[in-house]
Amino acid sequence: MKKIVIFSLVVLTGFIFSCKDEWLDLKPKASGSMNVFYSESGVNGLLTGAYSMLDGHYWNDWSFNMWGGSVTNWVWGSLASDDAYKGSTSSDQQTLNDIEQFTVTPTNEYCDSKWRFMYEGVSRCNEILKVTSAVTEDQLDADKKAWYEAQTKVLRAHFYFELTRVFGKVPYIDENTVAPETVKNDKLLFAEIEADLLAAIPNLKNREPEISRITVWAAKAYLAKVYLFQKKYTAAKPLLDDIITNGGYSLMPNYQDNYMIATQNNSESILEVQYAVNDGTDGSVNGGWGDALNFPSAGPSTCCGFFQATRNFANAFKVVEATGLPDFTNWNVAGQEVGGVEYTGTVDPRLDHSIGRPGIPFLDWGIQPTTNAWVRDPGNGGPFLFKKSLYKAAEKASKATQSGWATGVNANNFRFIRLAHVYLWRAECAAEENDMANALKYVNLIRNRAKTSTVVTFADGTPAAKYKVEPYTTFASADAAKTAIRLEERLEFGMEGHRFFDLVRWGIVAETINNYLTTEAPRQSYLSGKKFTSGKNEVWPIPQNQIDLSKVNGVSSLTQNPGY
Amino acid sequence: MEKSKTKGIWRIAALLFLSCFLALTSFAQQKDLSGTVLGEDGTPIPGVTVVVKGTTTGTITDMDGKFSFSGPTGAKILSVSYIGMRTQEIEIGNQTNFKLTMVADVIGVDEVVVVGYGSQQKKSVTGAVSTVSQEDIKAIPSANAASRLQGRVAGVTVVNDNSPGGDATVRVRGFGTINNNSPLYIVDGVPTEGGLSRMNPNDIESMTVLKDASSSAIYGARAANGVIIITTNRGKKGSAKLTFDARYGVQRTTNSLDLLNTQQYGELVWQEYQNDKYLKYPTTAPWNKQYIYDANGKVTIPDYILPTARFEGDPLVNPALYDARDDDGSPFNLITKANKQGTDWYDEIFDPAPIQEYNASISGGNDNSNYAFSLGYLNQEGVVIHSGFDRYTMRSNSDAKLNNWLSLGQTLSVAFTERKGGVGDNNDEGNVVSQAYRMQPIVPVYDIAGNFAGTKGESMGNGANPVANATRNKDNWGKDLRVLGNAYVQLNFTKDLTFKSLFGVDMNNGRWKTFTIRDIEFFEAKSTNRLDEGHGYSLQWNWANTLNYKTILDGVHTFDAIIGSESIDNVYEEFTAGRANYFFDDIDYRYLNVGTASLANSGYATSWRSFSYFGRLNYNYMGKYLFEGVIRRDASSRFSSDNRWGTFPAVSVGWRISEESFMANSKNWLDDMKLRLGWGQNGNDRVDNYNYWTTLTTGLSQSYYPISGGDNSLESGFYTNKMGNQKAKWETTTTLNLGLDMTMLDNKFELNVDVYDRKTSDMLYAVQLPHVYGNASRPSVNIGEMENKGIDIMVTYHGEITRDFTYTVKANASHYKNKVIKLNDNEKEVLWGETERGNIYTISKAGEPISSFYGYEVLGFFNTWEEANAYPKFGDYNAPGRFKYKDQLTEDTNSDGVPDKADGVINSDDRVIIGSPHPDLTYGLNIDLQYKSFDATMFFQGSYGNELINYVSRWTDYFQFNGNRSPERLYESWTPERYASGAKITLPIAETHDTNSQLPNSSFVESGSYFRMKNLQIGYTLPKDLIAKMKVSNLRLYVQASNLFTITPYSGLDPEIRSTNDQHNGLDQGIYPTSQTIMFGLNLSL
Repeated sequence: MKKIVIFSLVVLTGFIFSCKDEWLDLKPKASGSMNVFYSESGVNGLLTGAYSMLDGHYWNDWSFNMWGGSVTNWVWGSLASDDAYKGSTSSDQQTLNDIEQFTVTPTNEYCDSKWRFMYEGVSRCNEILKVTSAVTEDQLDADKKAWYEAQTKVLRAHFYFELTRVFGKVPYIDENTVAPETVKNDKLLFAEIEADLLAAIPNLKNREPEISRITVWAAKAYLAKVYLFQKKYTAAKPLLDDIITNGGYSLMPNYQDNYMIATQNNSESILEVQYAVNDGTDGSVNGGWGDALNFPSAGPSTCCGFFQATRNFANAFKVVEATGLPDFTNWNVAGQEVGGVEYTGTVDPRLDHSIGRPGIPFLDWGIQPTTNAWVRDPGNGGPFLFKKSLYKAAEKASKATQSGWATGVNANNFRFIRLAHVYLWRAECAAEENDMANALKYVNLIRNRAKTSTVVTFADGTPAAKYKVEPYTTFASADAAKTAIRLEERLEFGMEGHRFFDLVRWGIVAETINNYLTTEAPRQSYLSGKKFTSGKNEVWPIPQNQIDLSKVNGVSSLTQNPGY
Repeated sequence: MEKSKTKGIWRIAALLFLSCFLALTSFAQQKDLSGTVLGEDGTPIPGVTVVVKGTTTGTITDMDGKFSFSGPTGAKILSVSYIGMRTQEIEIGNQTNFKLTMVADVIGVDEVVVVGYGSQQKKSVTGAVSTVSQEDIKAIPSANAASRLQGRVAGVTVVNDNSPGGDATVRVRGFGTINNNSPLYIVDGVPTEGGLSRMNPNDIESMTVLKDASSSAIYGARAANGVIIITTNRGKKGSAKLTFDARYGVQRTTNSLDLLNTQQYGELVWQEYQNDKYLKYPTTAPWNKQYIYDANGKVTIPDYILPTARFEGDPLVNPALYDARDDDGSPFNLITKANKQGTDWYDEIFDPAPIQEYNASISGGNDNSNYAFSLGYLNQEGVVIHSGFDRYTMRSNSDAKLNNWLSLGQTLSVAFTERKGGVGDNNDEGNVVSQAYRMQPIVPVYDIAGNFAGTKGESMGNGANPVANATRNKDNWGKDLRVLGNAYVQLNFTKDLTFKSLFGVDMNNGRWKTFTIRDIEFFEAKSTNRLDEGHGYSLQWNWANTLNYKTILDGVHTFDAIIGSESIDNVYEEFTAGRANYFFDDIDYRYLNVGTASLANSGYATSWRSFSYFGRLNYNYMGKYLFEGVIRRDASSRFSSDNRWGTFPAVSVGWRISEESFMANSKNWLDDMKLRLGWGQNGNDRVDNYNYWTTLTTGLSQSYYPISGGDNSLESGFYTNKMGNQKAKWETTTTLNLGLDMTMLDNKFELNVDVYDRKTSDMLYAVQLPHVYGNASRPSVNIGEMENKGIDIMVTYHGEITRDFTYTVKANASHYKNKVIKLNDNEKEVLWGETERGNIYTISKAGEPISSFYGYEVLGFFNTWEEANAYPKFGDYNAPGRFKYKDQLTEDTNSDGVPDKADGVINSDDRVIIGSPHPDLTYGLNIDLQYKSFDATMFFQGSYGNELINYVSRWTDYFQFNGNRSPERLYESWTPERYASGAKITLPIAETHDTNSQLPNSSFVESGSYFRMKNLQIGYTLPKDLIAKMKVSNLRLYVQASNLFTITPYSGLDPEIRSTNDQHNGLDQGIYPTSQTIMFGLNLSL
């Protein structure tokens, strides 16, 4: 008996002691390796992943903030311009104060946020191109492959264009780069961006059944945008004409249609970033979370009171009552500022579609309180709210988030490029070549649409303010035309993240911002003594940690921008 | 400085060692002595030391237990000693031949201690091992067994989360890694990494801490952070014994922050307004719109805060206008009165709460079997309203010896626990305790309709009514069912050779349910109610097989060898689901199927496995020279097959100096003295379970996109979420330990001293790559190094004043010094702690301890504009009353690598190390008194030399949102008048633009030292003759007070701050405070 036990024991022990190594080979749960993706559905899955970076962020467990990356560029395009104040309280998100006041240092977390999200986008695109370069004809048809690659390249061009506009010279990493940390930021990447867009255009389609896929028109409009940023007006013009003539787009009847959930993906929209809420995601991160702070802290939302319109921006809507044209002379005079409902001057009706003013109806949320009760800290952010990203009270249950603390997050898409952009860009091209007829034509298309749009009214139907907007009859000079077009772009696209970059490409950023800082300081004390430094503040600092992380043998591959 | 400190430690050790040789002498003259030494069962015992007391003359017994030697003629007393037996002293008289019977010694130094996969005589242990007895574990009424270790063992630092059923952070000898620093727990042979609130501390017979590598190396791979072996009660030989223990008591908080009342708050707002003007800010009115001021700043408090600053009689305060209805389309109108005296929010959220604990057990056994069965119940209601913890436990342990070669046994514990309510995360700005300082005093608890009042009103900040939060969350819960147990079979091939196979299981089934009710009175009100639930399931099994061989050769060579293997498999899986928009909040309605919006679900799974071989050899020569060698080879699924195996050796030696014949002279005062030296290596594999894989995955929040344009639907996309590192391997911790154990004065006095040097190499550190690689999480690589040096001292004294009056004093103290030697190849690499409201307070970097405080150094205040303007600029911050931050040396002008010049501006480069959360000393002192039938225990515990960042004061001393403020801000902040008059100034000027004053700086650093009377217990055991009539064998009644007092210079709520992140230690963000508990109890046995 004892012997049997001993025998079985030895066998048993022998078994235990010869554990197979495979027993320890555990695979990660709920994930796969790259080789799983060599198929159409695989490539499409990766491409959807790249599209999901179009809004400029993803949920990252707060390892860095999500606001800096937002595709709306509310930080870089609006807050840094004369359109917007930070809002909220002065101690909230302190690093944003430095952006608004041009006191940014390379350790600013917003710079890091933009950098990381954009390169995440680049990296997702590069992964796709790595797969498509290895995929066989059996796995993916050639024309499908070309179409997927084309969309990928437009996305990559977008991420690099964003990086270029914000940081200037940045390192170029593509699907063939072996050691990304060694790549220097020694040139502007316009050539690479243009090459991706040009390569994409032949393989893209006219319209897509899946509404938000990039079309040939989106790619062409983007290319025109890139050209304009480099003042390549002659290169941009034929692209813009092509879109206007052959694109099949048309202006929506109402200006406000561009900011309503009900009229998303409309006939005017060329490249639209899709937002979704209550989609199973905790906190509705796909609902434009990069702007989650930018909703009223009371009233339509309860968080967080950031991103308020400047007095300067409100004043820009002043109209000369007799002509219905912008008041170019007295628009920003102290003591005559546009205020709340008590302001009796004439204004462009787009004012009250763009910003919330005390005493004026706020969509269907009722009248914005004159007590500033919807403003988090009127002393810090003034009385105005941002309206374009909001939703209607009636849409609250389904189109606004039902989870998370960011209660303003909603399904209202961001129209990144729409026909109105194309018209005004075309007008810019015309003004550059002294073609007053076309300059006038395209600006007036926009102004006439504003004129025929519905206006904000009180419950009894009376207009909420004295509204008027009329087309220009003539431009006295090319400079007058440029001034008018530039103002039109500000009014039409106010607080949509374009302003700062437009000022840069027009070459008037220093004078405009410094003028703004001087005239706005008495209204907004923290702006006093602040200034925009030409040759420095056109771009933002390369994040310090990225410089540190890119050290190869003690020397960083990255060079800091001048002045930082 | 550091060097000399550690040198000092070694010097002290050497001194202690040398002092023991003072009494050494020897002399001669002969007398023949011989005899036989037998055990209690009559069998001869070889190896017994027999010496003439007071001399070095003597011998040891042979295989037949016989001895014979020549002693001096004047020899009077024979001293007979053997490990595990009581040392005897025999009058020699005229006798020359002796027949001696040794009696097993179960107390004092001869006790058996539990070590890995077995047990050893304490005398022969060569590693740094400390045991906490059942008595000590039972004393503290804390729900968590780990927190009952606090102050008991030198070298073990415990920081409690004081919420009911809360966890405790246990660190053995400092911090060995930037990764997981939790020790490994072995519960009756089953390894586990915590969850000690889900077991009954009353079932624990002993907790043994293996502190150094030589003692813990047998657990190799997972032992780098120390091992705590928990042994539960087993039945003892004898008739069935029934015990019943009960205690009931009341807990209360003894501390709250001193904050402003409504009137004072109004005065502060005016002061801030004046200061803003003084600082030349264009200001037109005080920021708070609720208070009304006349031209001189005399404040009037309104009757109502919602509507803003209204008085009785105002048409707007008509109760008929009150509207809390959500379904009528009109906005809420939550008319709220001002609390003119001021709400004491701490008073509102703290309430005395009961705690009760009951345990019943039955145990017994005979020669061949034993059993122990117990039931336990613990209920701890929280001192914060609507929080609590319940635990029901059952345990059954038994062993059976079937015949002379086969025995079987098992342990099984089942614990059901429930955490009730939701007060928020401990040490967090969002929890109920923190909301108490974030609420202005003018806000009442309820509005005019009796609904909760909140910060909806103008200028009320963004605090959330903590009474509302706690009350709304009262029905939320987390429930766990844990089953932990093992079964073993043991075969004795021969008397010396045994085989044991043990199979253990640790299973936990957790469920939680959180219903969020709308908080319409809150400034940042939620838009809808919502239900979230989850289920987590973990299952671990381990199978350990050991072969043990013990023998004694020639009566003097004792061998104890063990070889074995162990495999462990661990799986965790969870799913969560939630829905929003419930038609009503009724508790019976809180089920997923009736939620109408925002349907969400998610899941997660992870697993790991390990396989190990190990062997240990203990050898001793005559019980004098001790040797232990251990080797363990581990394979972990966390590493790729190329680097999977790690080998961890350890060697230790002991020298029982007291057994040397030349020490015989000191036998009259020295019972035992042992010197220990150990060296060994342990591993740590606790990085991501799949560290070596590069993976792509899909995530709703990371890679989905509504490509078809849906507003509520998404298409799935993929992204690279993780980069892998094929080359990662084990972290290795190497420990050198020198120890001294002494018992003296007839076992009355015991001293244990250990000094150690513990160094982690190949520390796994997530590789830092620039983000041009994308954001996929980085794999860990073996690159860092960390070091801990320290000393642990434990002293015990058993005293006797009279025969009826005895006492025991146990004291322990420990010191460690932690240093990060290297994070990676970049010597300036910084591992940042968590970001709190835009600021980082802790960093870990080479040359400094882990989680060092980081910020600006405050030199003082600017007192004039001239002074402020002349100082290096910090943007436009410099102004009278604000902090003068030190312009650190940041420029290196002579390129010697050491900055030697200040750059003339204040910016983020001027941040330096400003403090450390690591204590210089942690200690415990326990005094037991026994007088006739009365007994008393006093237990003190504390920490010295550690610092805390009082982050709470950023909220109460500065304009960080609009919560309540400290009296110091009102009365001791800088103003030109106070400066001129020489009044006490402790804070910078009170203003609304003090952003830069709130940056992490040295003014937030405070001493976190404390001395706490942890426990006082006075008991009375009823006379035996009285209770014998009731057939009761023992009945003791006692009264107990825990946390009776705490002495600390710290100005916050409580100096015991627990962080769940080792890179973020010592930051007080608002914690659940320690409560004082008064209890009555009884111990009954039949």
